[in-house]
Amino acid sequence: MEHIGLLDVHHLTVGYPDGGRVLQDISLHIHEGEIVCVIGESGCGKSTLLNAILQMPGRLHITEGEILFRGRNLRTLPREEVRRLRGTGMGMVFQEPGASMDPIRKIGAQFYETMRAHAPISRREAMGQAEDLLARLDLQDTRRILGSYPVELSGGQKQRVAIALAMALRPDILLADEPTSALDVTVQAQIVEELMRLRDDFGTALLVVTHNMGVVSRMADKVAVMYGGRIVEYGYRHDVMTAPAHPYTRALMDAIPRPDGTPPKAIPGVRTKKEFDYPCPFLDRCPYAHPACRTEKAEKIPIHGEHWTLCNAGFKGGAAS
Amino acid sequence: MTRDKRFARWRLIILLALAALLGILCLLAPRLVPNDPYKVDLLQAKQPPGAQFPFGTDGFGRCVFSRILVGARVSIFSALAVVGITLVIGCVIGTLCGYFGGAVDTVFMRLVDIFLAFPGMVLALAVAGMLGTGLGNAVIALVATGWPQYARLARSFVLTLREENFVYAARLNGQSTWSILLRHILPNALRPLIVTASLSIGGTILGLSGLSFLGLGAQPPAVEWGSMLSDGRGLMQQAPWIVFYPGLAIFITVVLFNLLGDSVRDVLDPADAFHIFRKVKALRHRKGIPTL
Repeated sequence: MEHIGLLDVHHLTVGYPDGGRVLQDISLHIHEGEIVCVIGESGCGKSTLLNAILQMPGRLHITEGEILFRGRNLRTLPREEVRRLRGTGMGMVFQEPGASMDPIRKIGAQFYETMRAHAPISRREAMGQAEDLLARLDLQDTRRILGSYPVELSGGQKQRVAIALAMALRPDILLADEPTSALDVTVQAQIVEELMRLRDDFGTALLVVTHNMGVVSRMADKVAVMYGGRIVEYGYRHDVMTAPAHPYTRALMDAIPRPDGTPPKAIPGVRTKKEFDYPCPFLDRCPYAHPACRTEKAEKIPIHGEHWTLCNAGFKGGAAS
Repeated sequence: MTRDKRFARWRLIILLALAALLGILCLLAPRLVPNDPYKVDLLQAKQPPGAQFPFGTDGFGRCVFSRILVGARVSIFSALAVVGITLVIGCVIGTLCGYFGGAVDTVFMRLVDIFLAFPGMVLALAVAGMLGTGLGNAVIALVATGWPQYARLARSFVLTLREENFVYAARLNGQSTWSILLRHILPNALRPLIVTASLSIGGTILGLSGLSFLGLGAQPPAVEWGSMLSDGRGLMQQAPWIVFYPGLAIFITVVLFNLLGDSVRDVLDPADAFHIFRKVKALRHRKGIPTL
């Protein structure tokens, strides 16, 4: 297939066993050391995308498409192979700080277990590596942290430890599900910096799911804007942020509070859950909707380089000013 | 550490010390007895408590005090064995059912339903009756009726734990299923189960004594508190000490182990980890403490 990157998602469609649809025709390519941010509102399928990539189906059901990791199809790979890829190939950070930690086991023990699941390692060696990782994440008192239980740490500390745990096996890509949403603003900024430093130090690619434009504008190389289970705009951060092409992206940008005091504009309407039956997911709320939008299926329209949008009207109507 | 917590810890230490004392007493019983607990001497029958026989003698002139000391071993250790075995069996079945689900889960849980539908003691009676008399069979009977409760409890904890993010994360880190079960699921589920187990020691002693009282437990010449009660009940009017002291021994031991269970719960109560304990409490409350 074209585009053999680190992680390639091709035309992924995901639903629930009862037929409900969550993601439709998602394509995404992440290269080594690249930071891709997926932004969108609650319920648009961001987290489902991560779960699908990690092959942790649970209740979801991949109906179409492929997920390739280093060119290997995760959907057809034997389970044991997938297990080996987890941790060493892909790491995961959750929104809730500390959610990835067992509440009754000391943090040091959890590092040791994670590392030992993939390669024989001595306890001392594991602790050394863990301390090093924690120090890179600006944590002081690393030895004490390794000897503590998760409850004994603050939210920011826990999230850093969680990131370090996910990084323990030096995965090629770190998937982060709103890693900063549950933290206060100063800590958010620090975590963002630290994640970017990890990329610089280890060359780890990042796929960050967020609804925070600040996070996107600080760290993203590329941005994927999701709405109603589809990617509606994709491109380099600079292109997307300075020349948003899709009406939804523009509405999102207008909804950012500004320091000059102009009140942020809310996006009118609510999601209808009927997006999957529409030719365009944003149809109901789109201020630029043409009559033609109701009949013609929204197509991927290239704008400039890798920048594209899923909008007939936005492009034709010259909305990409 | 808060004052409450420190107090709870001290209480646990004291109760554990008392339980240990009881255990030592059991182990050393043959050396501590003032009289031969098995020696029949009809001339000394039904002696009231006095200098030679601190708790008096029974209908055959045997020293009640010595018999209580010797019987403690059987009563307490077999109760501990019952609780231990039920805990292990219940945990294994419940954990596997909860984690893997599917057909195994359905089969075992329906079996559990059947077992729980009978009054525990009646079922134990039936099993002991079928297996025949004897202490070993009484233990088996109590285990057979006790495991479903633990299996059900363990399963419900595992069901909630399975969906926890840290279990998910462990899978994402590439840990194997067995490693997750042993390192994450079991230890988290075990704390509330240990509390349940320690709370049911008292009830099990009673159950075992009950079976012995009905003649299904320990057989003569083995001494057991329940069978002492049973032997002495005909003489209740003339020599009340024959039933009073074994009854007192059962009472004290049951109270001690119940307090111990409570105390274990207070100390282990993981306000800092999970609120699962409140669930145990509620479950036990709904079912009516203890098992038997």
